[in-house]
Amino acid sequence: MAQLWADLRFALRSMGRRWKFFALSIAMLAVSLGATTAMFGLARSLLLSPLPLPASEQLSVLWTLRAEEQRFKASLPDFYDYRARTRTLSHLAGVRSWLFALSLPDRPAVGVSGDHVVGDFFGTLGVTRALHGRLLTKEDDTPGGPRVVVLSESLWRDAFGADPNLVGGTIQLDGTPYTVVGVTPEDFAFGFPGQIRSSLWVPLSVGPLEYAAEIREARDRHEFNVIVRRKPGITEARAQAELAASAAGITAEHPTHRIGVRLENLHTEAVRTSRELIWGLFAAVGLVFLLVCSNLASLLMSHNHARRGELSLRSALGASRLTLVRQLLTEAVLLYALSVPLAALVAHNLLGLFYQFTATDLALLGIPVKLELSTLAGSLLVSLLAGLSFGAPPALSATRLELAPMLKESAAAASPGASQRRMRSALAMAQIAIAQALVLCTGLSIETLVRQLEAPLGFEPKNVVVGAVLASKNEYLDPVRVSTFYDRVIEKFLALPYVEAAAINNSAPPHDFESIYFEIEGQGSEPKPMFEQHDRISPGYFGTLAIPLLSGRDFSVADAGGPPVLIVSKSAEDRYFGGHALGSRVRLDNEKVTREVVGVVGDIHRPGLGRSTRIEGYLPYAQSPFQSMRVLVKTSEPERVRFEFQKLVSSVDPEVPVVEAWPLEAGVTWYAIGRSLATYLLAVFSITALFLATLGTYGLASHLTQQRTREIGIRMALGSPPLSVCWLIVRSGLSTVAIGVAIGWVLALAAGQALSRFVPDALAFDTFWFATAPLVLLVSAALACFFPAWNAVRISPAATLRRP
Amino acid sequence: MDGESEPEAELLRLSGIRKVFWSDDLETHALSDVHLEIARGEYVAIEGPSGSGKTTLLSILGLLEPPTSGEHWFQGRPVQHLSARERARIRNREIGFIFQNFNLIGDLTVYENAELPLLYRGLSSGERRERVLSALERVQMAHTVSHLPSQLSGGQQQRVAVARAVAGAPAVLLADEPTGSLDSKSGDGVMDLLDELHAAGTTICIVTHNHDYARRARRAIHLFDGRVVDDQAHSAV
Ligand SMILES: Nc1ncnc2c1ncn2[C@@H]1O[C@H](COP(=O)(O)OP(=O)(O)OP(=O)(O)O)[C@@H](O)[C@H]1O
Ligand SMILES: [Mg+2]
Repeated sequence: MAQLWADLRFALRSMGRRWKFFALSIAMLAVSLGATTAMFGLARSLLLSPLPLPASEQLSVLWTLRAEEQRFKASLPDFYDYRARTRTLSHLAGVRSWLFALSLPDRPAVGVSGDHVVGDFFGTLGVTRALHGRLLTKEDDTPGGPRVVVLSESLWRDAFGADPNLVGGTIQLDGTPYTVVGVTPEDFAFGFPGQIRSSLWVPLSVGPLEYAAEIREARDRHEFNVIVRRKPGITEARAQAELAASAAGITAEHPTHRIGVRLENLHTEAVRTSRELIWGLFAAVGLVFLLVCSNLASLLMSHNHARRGELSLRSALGASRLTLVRQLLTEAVLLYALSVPLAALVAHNLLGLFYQFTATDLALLGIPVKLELSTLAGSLLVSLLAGLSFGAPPALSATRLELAPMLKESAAAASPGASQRRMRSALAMAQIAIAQALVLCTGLSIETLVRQLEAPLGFEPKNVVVGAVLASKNEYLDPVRVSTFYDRVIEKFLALPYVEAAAINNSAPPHDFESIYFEIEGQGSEPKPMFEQHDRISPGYFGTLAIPLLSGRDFSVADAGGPPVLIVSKSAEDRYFGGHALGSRVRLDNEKVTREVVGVVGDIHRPGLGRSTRIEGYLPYAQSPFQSMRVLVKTSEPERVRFEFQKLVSSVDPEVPVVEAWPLEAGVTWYAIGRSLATYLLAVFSITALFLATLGTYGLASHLTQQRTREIGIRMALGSPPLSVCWLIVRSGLSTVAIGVAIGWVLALAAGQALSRFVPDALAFDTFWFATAPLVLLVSAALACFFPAWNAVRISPAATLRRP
Repeated sequence: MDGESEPEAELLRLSGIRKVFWSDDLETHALSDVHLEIARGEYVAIEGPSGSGKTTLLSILGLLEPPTSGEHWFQGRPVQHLSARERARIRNREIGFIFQNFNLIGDLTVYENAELPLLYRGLSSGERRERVLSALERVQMAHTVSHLPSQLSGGQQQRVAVARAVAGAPAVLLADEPTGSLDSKSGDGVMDLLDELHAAGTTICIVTHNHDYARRARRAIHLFDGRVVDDQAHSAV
């Protein structure tokens, strides 16, 4: 114990003497260990812990399966049938996201996202107590019931100043009064995975869809996300089997409605989009931590080597090897241990940032992420283990002292410790291999991204401003009224001298994906053709976005009251219509009418990994309008139009909010960036890795040079040209580097092959990157080797030879 | 060949040489105003107390480091302003070094150590082999060609160092206390070797603390505090 204390004191003193070196080491350790801890904390809170809802393991999402096992939302009649037949489920709820226009006094209406719910929504989630008032119950889901709404705590606070008297009062949603019956608890948050977080809940039966008695009948309208809670003790497989039987029963009663069912655990569903990303980033930061550790091992080796004199003296005075190793190891472990408090601080700060980046769907469910004490204890343990395992090789090699050769000056001084050299070489090699693999993977993903971004979009986003307009007042439930409203908005825009064109669509490219099955009259329907995206657009939409009309005609104002028509994309024509779509008759899955194809337009390409949707159908919006539409305006003054958007819409109807207005070009860019977040993070990590590997190589070269200074001096004295001595050092460094580069290269090749199999559009190989990246590493490593060698040959050989 | 040229021809000349070392605000005048001429075929001993500048003088003579000021001719040619590359070339071809601590490279065999200067000279491998073996034979170390320095005794290592120094047939052999690390018997052996080399015509310049060894030389230079205080020829023993 006293010995340990003495070791600690000595370690602190020796660190104090070289505090710059140790401060830098501790900083590097703290950042990399902190990032690793944060990623692990995140993975632990989000992936390894259950959702923060009572008995959350009993919760599942119910998907309807249709042709080709495609997952669909459920239709209302199916939902009620499942509920009527089940014995294994205790609760079922259906939710449908909806953007509400919330009117507040003295302000333009704002868009607020919420849900229309059917069944026992809060009961299913296991939330029983409200913060104020009450929550919605199964009884609220009764046609003709009172108009009630439950607000989230954050909406209640932000929009209503946490007014406790609000409960029992009324608010205006979509121009209609609703009674606020309650506020959810503070820690409750909900957003269905893949959607946005909801701020209010309204029973479907009293919402604006009540007019659509139709939706209660329409088995084709797959619009509800269904969450179910199994009775205690019922496995998912058993519930699944029962629901599959129900689905078969439904199909037996409605032969054209062929459906299946799949239950997916709610947690699995929520982490689906984040799991790979979180584990991938955890692996990446873990690798960076390992790189830092191996660098430190390398640095400690030089540090210890410089103390060889002191060590041999101690040894000559009778210190055992064990004593020396323990002393050096104490120093290394202390170094790692000192970094832990800082690492905890770094982790604490990075956690929120990582959460935002990686866990969009999980954030919807309001899962609290925090660093638990046991996670921090784990990182302390990891750092101590790392200190021991990365501190041991330098300690062992520095204490492998042979005292006799120290007397035989030349042999000892001119020959570097072969085992030390091997160990450092192996470390540097591993660092280089990791860096090379990371750089190549980054190269591949950058190359993939660039190709995606360079591919022609098929439309021109320049100078187009998009406004998300929400005409959700009850009067706009009438299709004629809502289309008249939007026609007037477009007229207003077109009247402006700086506006060239204006049109509307229910979504702005490249964002939404609303696939829909359809049938072509006179064709067999196996497999069922599907539009990957369908849009409701106004005449002039193609012109506004410069999408070429390839054959047939654009929509016209006359289509509003005319026979149902449809325009398809070139890819859709080639895929499903044998290259001749004009005149074909098509029925969409959620409609009764048949539409005639009157035109074919160019494809739209959506930038970003794994998303290239081209098979598309367009309907005239006037034949089936939505209340929420995007207005697209082509103008010579985009900023001005963006600024004036709300004013213009308000001049048609002051109660209609513009939720957001943005330049389409920026939207496209953000879309691409959002799809390629992993690429950016990868780039950051590989630059870090490249830097660390270069540093490691530099350390190796300095060490090699340091061990060979006397040899360098002798060679110089015997008349070797300086550059050839440099080359000697560079060569011995480079052979190590070359092996590392080769290993990394092969690793990246394998990773590329694996990745391209999982991610559509991802490149497996790129000649440019695979040819140049090794060169970059070799050159940077050669420079890293060259500088210490060059410094050594610049010293006059007389001085080196004079040294004892 | 150089060794056979006329004995009185000048080989090297120092004039007004000063060498100052600066370290930690401390200025050390290792050599001050040194004038010296050495002719071909001479055998010169440099003597003086510790710290008097002997090693420094030898490093300047051997072009290992440049003087702070003064003029330096080698084979009739001024060398104090030559580039590092040029100086390396001259060291390689014209100068042989023998150090007190041998300075063999531990990773290379005896043969490879002796071969080093020839390697830098770009000789063919056949020619190198011939010269290295004959040099090793001259110092009676031909039987150890594939040994590593750590496998040899001190005296043997120094003989290899001598072989390395003479393998390239240099114009001058510079030896800094070549016997300092050796017992008297090995020391005698090395000195006998130098006598033989001198007899065969090699110019030799040796630093030694051993007065008996110094007396083997034909001329003795005494340094004191960086200055030449005595320069006298004595008759052969
Ligand atoms: N690189 C250097 N930096 C500073 N001072 C130096 C350096 N090299 C030599 N000196 C100083 O120059 C002076 C002459 O040194 P030198 O080694 O030539 O002496 P020496 O005569 O060879 O001594 P010895 O007989 O002990 O080997 C000494 O005072 C020494 O301290
Ligand atoms: Mg000396």
